[in-house]
Amino acid sequence: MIERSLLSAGISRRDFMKTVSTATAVMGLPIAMAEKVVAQAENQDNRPPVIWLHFQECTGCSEALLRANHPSIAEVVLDIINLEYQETLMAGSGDQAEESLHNAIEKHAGKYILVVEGSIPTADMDVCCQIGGKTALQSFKDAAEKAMVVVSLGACATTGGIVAIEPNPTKAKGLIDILVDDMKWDKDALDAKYISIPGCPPNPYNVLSVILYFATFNKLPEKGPKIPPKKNLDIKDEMAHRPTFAYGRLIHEHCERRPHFDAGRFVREFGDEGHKNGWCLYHMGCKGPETYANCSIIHFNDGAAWPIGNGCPCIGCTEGNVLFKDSLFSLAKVAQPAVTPYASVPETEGKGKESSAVQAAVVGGLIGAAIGAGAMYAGKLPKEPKDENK
Amino acid sequence: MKTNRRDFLKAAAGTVAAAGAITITPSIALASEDENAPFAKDTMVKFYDSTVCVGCQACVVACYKTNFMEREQNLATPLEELNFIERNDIIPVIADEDKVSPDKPWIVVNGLDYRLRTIIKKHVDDEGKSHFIKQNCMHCKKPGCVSACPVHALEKDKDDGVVTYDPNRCIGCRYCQMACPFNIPAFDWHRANAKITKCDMCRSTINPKSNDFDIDANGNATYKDNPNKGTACTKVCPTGAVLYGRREDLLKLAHDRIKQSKEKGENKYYEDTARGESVLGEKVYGGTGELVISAVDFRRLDFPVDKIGDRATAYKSENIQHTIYKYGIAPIALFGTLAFVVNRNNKKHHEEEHKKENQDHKNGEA
Amino acid sequence: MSSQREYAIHRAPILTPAFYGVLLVVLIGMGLVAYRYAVGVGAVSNLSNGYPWGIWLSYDVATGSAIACGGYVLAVTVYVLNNFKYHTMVRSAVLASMFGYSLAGLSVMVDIGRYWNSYSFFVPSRMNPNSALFEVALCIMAYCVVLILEYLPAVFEKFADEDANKSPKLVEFGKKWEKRFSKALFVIVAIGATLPTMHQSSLGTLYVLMGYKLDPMWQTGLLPLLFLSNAYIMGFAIAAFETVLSTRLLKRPFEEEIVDLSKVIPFIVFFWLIVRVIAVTLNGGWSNAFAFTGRSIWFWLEILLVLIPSLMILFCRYAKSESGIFLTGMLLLIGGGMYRIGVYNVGFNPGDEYHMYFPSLAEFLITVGFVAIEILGYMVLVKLTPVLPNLEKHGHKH
Repeated sequence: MIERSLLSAGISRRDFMKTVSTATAVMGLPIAMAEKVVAQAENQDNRPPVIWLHFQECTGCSEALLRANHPSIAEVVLDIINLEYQETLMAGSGDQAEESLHNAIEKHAGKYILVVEGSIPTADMDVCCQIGGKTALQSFKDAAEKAMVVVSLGACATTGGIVAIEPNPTKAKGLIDILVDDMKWDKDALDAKYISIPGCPPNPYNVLSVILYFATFNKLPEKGPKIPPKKNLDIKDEMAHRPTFAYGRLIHEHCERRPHFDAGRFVREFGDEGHKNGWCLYHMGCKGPETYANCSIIHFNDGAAWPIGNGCPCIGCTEGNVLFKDSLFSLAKVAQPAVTPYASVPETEGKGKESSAVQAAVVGGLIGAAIGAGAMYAGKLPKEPKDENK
Repeated sequence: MKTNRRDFLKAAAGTVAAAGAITITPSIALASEDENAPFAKDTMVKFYDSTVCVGCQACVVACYKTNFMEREQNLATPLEELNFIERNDIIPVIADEDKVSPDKPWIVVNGLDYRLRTIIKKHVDDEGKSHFIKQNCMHCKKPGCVSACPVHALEKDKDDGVVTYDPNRCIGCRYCQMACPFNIPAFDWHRANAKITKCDMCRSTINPKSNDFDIDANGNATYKDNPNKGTACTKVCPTGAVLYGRREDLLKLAHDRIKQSKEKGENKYYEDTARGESVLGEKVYGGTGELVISAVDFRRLDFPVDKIGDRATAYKSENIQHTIYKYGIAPIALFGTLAFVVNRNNKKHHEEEHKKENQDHKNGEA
Repeated sequence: MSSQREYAIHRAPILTPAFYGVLLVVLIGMGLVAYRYAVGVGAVSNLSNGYPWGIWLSYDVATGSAIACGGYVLAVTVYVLNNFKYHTMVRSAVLASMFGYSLAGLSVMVDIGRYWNSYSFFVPSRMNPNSALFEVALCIMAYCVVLILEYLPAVFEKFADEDANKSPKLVEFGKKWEKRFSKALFVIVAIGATLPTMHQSSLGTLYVLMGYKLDPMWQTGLLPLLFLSNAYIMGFAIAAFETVLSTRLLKRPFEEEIVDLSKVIPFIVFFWLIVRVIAVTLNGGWSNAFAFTGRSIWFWLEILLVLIPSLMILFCRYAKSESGIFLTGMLLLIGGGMYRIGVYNVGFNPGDEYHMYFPSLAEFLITVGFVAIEILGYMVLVKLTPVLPNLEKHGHKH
């Protein structure tokens, strides 16, 4: 069905397949699985309804998504998902919009995906972000209660992001704090219903892949970091709820500048020789070694570019405890050190030093001195045997 | 005289018992070994084909992570936890001369050390072509280190021939390092809680002892209970240059590869015809639990096969020990003889002294 | 009563300037030992994975225990070979041996990396009788105990000495135990003569296992025999050397017995040389010996430094003088010690990939510190307990 509508819209089947294959690959699924994803995407009736809420944020995450080409946001919105409410994209406004939100929640109760962009002001500052007379906190609670899955999109929604930086005037919080503290979700509920896609902005393909995965398999993808295998993460640790396929590994592990790191070739100053030659940005404060994300693999703008590739150090935007908390130029902790050995390999038939002339002289001197001192001492002793006349 | 005799017997019995305890106890276990006995049937070995290795060092990293990083990082002794000793060495950020500098946060491989149980070494031949060799414990048939270890911290498994290390027994005497003909065991020189590091086929981490495995088409062992089991280096190797499996299978595989290459007319493998050993580990040091085939002379890959010879030195030194100390006979006999002689001489001397004193006494009186 | 005894306390002040000098050296050494315990062996030594055994083993244990063989050799001479005229020298030699061996044991505790596991030696399931090191370790530990037992009579004698003002109970205690010890003496002496025979040979057997890593000039299956005979050479030499030194430094008359004792040395040296030549020939070490590298120079020095003094003792009248005894004893000690260090360090070559071992200053200082403890202990105990020959009694005799 989708296929037909796409064809009529001038999108060939080939393009369609390409779109879905890309998304499948990002998910880390075997390419054969694309069939299944295609089948899912073709089945129009099964498009997952999505409700997209914006709170204290810059809409950058949506903007990033708008710039995805494989698939484009149009395809996503029209064909792959059933976008019921998205303040940036929808035409309606005012009461009409609020009504559609209310209707969508009621209509798809227990079946929709709730995507949240932006942090939520809490306590006495909950007046800071009100939509249609409702506080952000209340809007979120209403929507989250009946959601099948809650997705926190972007740094603000996951950990509070720039909004929650000290002194945090709006007392903003990330979703996980609200879910655990206010809504009393336990570990099982979080495991089954919550997924976080951090980043500032998150890579659109990661967002898309999670939604497609859920639409296909009707469950969330594997969550948690892969390396090092962190066990027993705290329930409130957002790390435990990231999709592994996207956030399982460090940027550092697959960074295109990594060989320079291993070989000790570092940029020391923007614009210097090393910077021109594309050396490692570690000493410019690159947080790649402590940032879990797949930026170094899939890049942004359809693989055209990404910060480190452009010569800009990673700022650690997926890590709540790094982004805007560590100085831009502070050295990153090498969270997963020494995953490759130094570029050079020891050679066989190595040439260790024989003992040096100095050492030989020391030994010779010691022995000589001992004999000499002994001989001198012996010279002072009686040289005639006493017992001859015995 | 009677009391003397009784005392003598008492003392003699006591000391013989004491001397016996020293010499007999350990000597009972001494038994000569058949030097030509074949390897145990289920001997597990690693097989390394140097011509397939691309020198990526993935095995080094995998081994490092499996056996050092995840296990050893949190093992600070109370003394080391006091701040005056920096624990930089266990954050594996080590550069030349084992000195830490933030500029060089990677493993610098200079040789096997306390972190690395396996390393890849490079040999550039006369044509400028690179050859690689994986250096790690050879799991010898008669390991010098096991013979050397006074407290059985190093032991060879009777079933699968893996030489394991138990730090809870080890006294850190480093005799194993001295005795190893391949210079494999490494010691942690810069830690108060120092250990010996050597390959134990990941026995203590991801590859516990098991005989429940299948051999796949490559000769690799695949465990039925857990397909992920196996040594870290073999599992990670992208080219299949290092395989883990039963010795007889892998030895056959090695010979097949040499044969096939001959049949194709490539002759890409080096064969030590003078010593009759085309697969390193077949003969050297009495046979080893690591098989290597390569395109270049083993001698140029840091295996001084001529010097090492085809007989384990452990046989020689153990023969000497056994000859001298078999059942503790020689020491006890020596002790018995000495005790007798000393007692007789001593008594004689005392009697003479006594006589002389009496004489002096008499002379004085006179 | 005391004048009738064979041994006497050397009556001199203990806290001399020399005492403080030696104490300083001890303190420096022990400070470095503390540092080693905090930071690891590598922090103070130049040992590496290629050369894991340094001078703490080659000098402190192998050579130190051979130097400490004076007690062993004298005990054998006196009690086994029935030469009781040397009996007066036994106790001072035993005291020196006691320090030599205990300190060999102590420096091993500095050297080994996991000393807290040393109890493994006494756990039957952990004992490895195939290991020469196991035999050496047990033997040296046992011999330390034996040497203490051999020395104890001197302590009891001090207690039993009625001249001093002390409680009669103590005197009685001393007398009782002195008597008991003199009865059991032959057993202690026999054990004391058996153990060094065992471990001195095993100190050589240790290196048979090294195979090609020990240069063919030294590597041989005859190492146990060579080490045992070498221990005899060094034992006799140290007995002679110590006699002259204690004569001079403690200002005592020369003990003539030593002249006769030294006559036996050349014959042991010739035995050792013959075995050595056979061993080198069998092992094909002569080509290396005539290569005149650093190692071969060491090899020739080892031989010359024991051969020359032996010839002197055989043919020179000078060698019978106090000066000659001192000189020959010293040369034999250096030559014999060089052989042991030759086997343990100089001849050891694990391959080209390692930097050749050369001890660090700290290693030297720790070793010197241990030697200083030895000297210090000897200096103090000689002045506290009856160890040296009783001059009054000897005065009558000569």
